[in-house]
Amino acid sequence: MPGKIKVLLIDDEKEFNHFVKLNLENTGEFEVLATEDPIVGIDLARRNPPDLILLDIYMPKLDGTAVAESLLADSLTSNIPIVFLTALVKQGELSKSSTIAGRHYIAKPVTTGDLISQIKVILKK
Amino acid sequence: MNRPKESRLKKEALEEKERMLEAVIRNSAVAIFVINARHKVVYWNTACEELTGLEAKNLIGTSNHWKAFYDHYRPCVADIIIDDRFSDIARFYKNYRKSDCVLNGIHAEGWYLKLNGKDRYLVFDAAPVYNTNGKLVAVVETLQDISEFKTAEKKLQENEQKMRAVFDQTFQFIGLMTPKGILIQVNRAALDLIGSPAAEVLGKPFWEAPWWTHSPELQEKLRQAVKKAAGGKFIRFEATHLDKEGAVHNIDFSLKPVKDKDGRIIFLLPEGRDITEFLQAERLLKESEQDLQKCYIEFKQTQAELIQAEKMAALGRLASNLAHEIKNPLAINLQGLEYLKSILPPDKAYIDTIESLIKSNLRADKILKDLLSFARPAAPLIFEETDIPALINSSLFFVDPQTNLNNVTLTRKFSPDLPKVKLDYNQMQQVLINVFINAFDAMPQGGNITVTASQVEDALNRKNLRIVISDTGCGIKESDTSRIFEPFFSTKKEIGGTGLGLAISKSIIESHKGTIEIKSRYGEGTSAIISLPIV
Repeated sequence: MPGKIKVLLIDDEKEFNHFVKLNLENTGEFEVLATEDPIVGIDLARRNPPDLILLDIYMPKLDGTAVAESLLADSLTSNIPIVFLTALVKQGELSKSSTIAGRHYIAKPVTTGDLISQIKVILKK
Repeated sequence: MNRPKESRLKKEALEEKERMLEAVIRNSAVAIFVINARHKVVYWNTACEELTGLEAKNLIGTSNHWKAFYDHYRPCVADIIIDDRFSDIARFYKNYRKSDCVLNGIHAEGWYLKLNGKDRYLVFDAAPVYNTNGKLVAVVETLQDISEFKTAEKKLQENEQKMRAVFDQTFQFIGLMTPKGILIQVNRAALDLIGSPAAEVLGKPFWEAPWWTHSPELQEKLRQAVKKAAGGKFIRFEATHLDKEGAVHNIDFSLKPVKDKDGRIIFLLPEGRDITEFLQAERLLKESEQDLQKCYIEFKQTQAELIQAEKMAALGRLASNLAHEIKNPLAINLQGLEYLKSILPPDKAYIDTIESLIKSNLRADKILKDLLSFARPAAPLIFEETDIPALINSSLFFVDPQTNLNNVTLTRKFSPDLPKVKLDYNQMQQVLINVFINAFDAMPQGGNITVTASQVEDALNRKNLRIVISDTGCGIKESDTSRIFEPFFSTKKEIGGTGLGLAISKSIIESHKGTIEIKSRYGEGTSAIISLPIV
């Protein structure tokens, strides 16, 4: 499906991945690949580079920041924008900077509308 | 009468007189001896024998009378008169004088050890006897043993000295006065205090002495006390005396009546104890007791604060773990509900139900965000020079849409001389947004919000920034005003209040060493007064 935005979602919450994939793809603008396993996620990103990666920070197998470092270190994936998804966000921080270690982040829970508008803002940059 | 007969009668009369005189001398209770101009003993009476232990028969006609008093030859007072050696008398007698009543007589006295078996104090009075031609023919010397009197006198003197020593050496102030209050004795301690000689105070009314003259009230009190004591009462009161340097001494003063054996009051005994140091010690003790009490309260407070801080830290950790754990299922719920909304038929009942569930979900998320903010106050403050009107305007910008919605009129009053203030811009913005939101929420039917910012000085002349945000809203019930800064206390739970906004705001203001105060009248409106130090 040409013209669709390819999103790779790496999050250990299986149900979250399931509904985000459904909601984004429902709009007809996105093609979402989702995995609960960060190692699989890195592999998927290298073999089939997406337009943007949504990455959970706290995962039992491998921390999201370590996944990001690995992706940045690889020339095949280093140019893909990474957006962190995290439940650890305090009030006020969103309006402040929206970046962790130079990356973008989105606080969970998030509405589909907010998620889409933020993805689009990041891709425009 | 013929001459021989007349002569015989005269001679008889003379002999009679001489016998009588001799009997008077011999039988006199006073020891008497007489020596003639050649120092020979002529008379040595019975009393003299008893006193000296020497018999007349061994002495008459001899010059051994000195043996009665001395173990080697020394002139007696009678010998000194005969030899006219008064100028020389000091060699032999310590205590002597010319007689008061007899011409050329001599008085001498002194102690004689082991005289006839015991120590005796003898008084000698020697008087010359002249014949009709004025020639010295004899000296009569009387001796009196006044040992007992002298011993008693000596004892009395010693006792008096002892008493005087106690009287003078004691630290207490003691005196003695007549029942009318005339001072007749005063001890050294009392005189030393005022630095006056005894002569200056004795013989005068006690209340006119320097111990009392600094206070007319005390003088009057003493005068009344003297009257009462003279009537037999024991009086005691606390007084003050000024010492010679002018320092105030606290005195425990008392006045006792002294009675004679018939019960008549003959003296009044004033006594004073200097209790200045005692009172000082008492005061210090009281102060240190208060300090101790203060320390204890502070300790208890600190302990409570520590426990509270520890609780808050634990709550912070718990809240952040809990938030993370809850946010993930919330995220799933939200996405799931949105999916349901997209696939269900566009029935109003379905849509409304799902919208309501989504809203609840977002509300739960807001509670968690607020809880995190409160339990884990933001990272170190980033102070920057801040333009206050700009800060207020930018905070209003976030809540501005509500002005139109709620029909609210906004008035800004900024002093033209407002300096830039060092503060954490983002955190202070959060405080102002919280307060503005509260003001808007209090006026759902519209009203006025007035924001003033000015520079004021506190009681210690320190400059403060004061921001006052007043609304004409519903106000806060008096019973609620004491709780508004309590976490999770909210008066608007029904419209989504979490009860953390003011608690977070207070925490931020306090981290800026400022204060926030809420003044409200129920039904009339509320003012939030924020004070921040200008450094």
